[in-house]
Amino acid sequence: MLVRDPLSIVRGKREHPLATEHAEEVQHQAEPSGALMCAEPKTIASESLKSAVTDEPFSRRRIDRIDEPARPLGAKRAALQVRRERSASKSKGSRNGPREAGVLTLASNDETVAFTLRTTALGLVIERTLRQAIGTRFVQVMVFDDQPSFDRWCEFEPMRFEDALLYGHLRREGHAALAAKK
Amino acid sequence: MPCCTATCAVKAMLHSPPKSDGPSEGTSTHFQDYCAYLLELLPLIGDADSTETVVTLFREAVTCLGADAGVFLSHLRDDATRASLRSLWACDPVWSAEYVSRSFFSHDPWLQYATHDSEPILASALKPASAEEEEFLATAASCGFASAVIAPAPSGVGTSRVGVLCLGSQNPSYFGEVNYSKVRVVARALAMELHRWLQHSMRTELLLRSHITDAEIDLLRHEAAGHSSKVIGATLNVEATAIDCRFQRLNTKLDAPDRRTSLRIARLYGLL
Repeated sequence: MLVRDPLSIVRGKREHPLATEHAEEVQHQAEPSGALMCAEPKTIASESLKSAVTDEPFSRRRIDRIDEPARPLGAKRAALQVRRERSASKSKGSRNGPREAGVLTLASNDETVAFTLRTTALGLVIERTLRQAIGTRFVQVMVFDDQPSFDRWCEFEPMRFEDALLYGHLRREGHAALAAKK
Repeated sequence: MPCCTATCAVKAMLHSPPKSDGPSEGTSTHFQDYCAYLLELLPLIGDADSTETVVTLFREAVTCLGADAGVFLSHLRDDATRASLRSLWACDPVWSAEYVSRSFFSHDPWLQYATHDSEPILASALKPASAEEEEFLATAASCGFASAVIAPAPSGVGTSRVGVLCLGSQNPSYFGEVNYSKVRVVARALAMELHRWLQHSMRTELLLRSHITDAEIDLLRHEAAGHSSKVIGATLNVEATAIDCRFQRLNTKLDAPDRRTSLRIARLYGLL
């Protein structure tokens, strides 16, 4: 006789197939019959593997719901991930300089802020990326048609105080790109 | 100067917009003109082949609605510690600079609203819950959002991926009750098209960056079905340890700490 949670029917939850198998196994082990104890568990195990390989979903692993926040990492794994990210950012080297035709990437020394400039027929496209080791990675995409609007944005850009060298480079490259567009 | 046929087509189209001051002005013929033009713009936004095209078309749609400013934000919760916020800006450049310098993305009431509601709303109906939100709304008002419509763009993955469009006007009464009923419909359509484009663009970007293969996507499908390494190995006729190695390579490609996070990223970016 299997022990099932009667509330699971009321709640509309389907009982896990493995839970049933496990309950059966426990039940058999609890019974005093020697014949069942040695023969039946093996049969159950082989059948469950067979069904998993063929058609039945063998849901031993817990599947997270995608519409819920992700489960936090354990302390050791989180530390490992931070170490990996640090070593990856070191091995990347300097990101400043041209990557492909018409695209220029300028990044701050600690690489937390990067600007990608692209000259196109529709204007100067600037993609500003703010990377944080933990937290939000924020990407802004803007298109500038003319120099006044670009200058107006530059006047309020926070990097003018945080990294003056990068800011100067950004202004020069932006002006050059907009002049070339004319 | 780089130029492609799609960009030229967009430029040609932008040269002949109907003269529009927005939904409230003019006759019904005038309104029909601008609606027809917007209907032409919307599919172009969803299928745009480049970032500059989509931002230019977005700006055009904002102007066509008679609005002064438009911002689209898409928030994605990659895993427990990381989140991505991608945004398209068609407004006063000061607002985009202020948004980042004051870290408004941490307490954006528009985004906050979109995470738990899918119905467009007038920004005036939002009640600031903190001093930061009050500051946000005051700064937004001074940068072209004195009156604004917030149109959330929900997704199939619930709050893990949320988009929000904000259309603003310097005129505090522009998006009043009269205009709102018309703008609400168009704003929702525009938000969904922008969200569609951004989702497609992020998927393409991830595929290019990670060089993920079809075999690896199949592995993720097994993971999604809850299969263990032993079961996957038995199905593919390889050792379970080989499956573990494949998952490790896959995790590195997706910059994920474990296969659970890899699966989450794959689902959020539409790889599965």
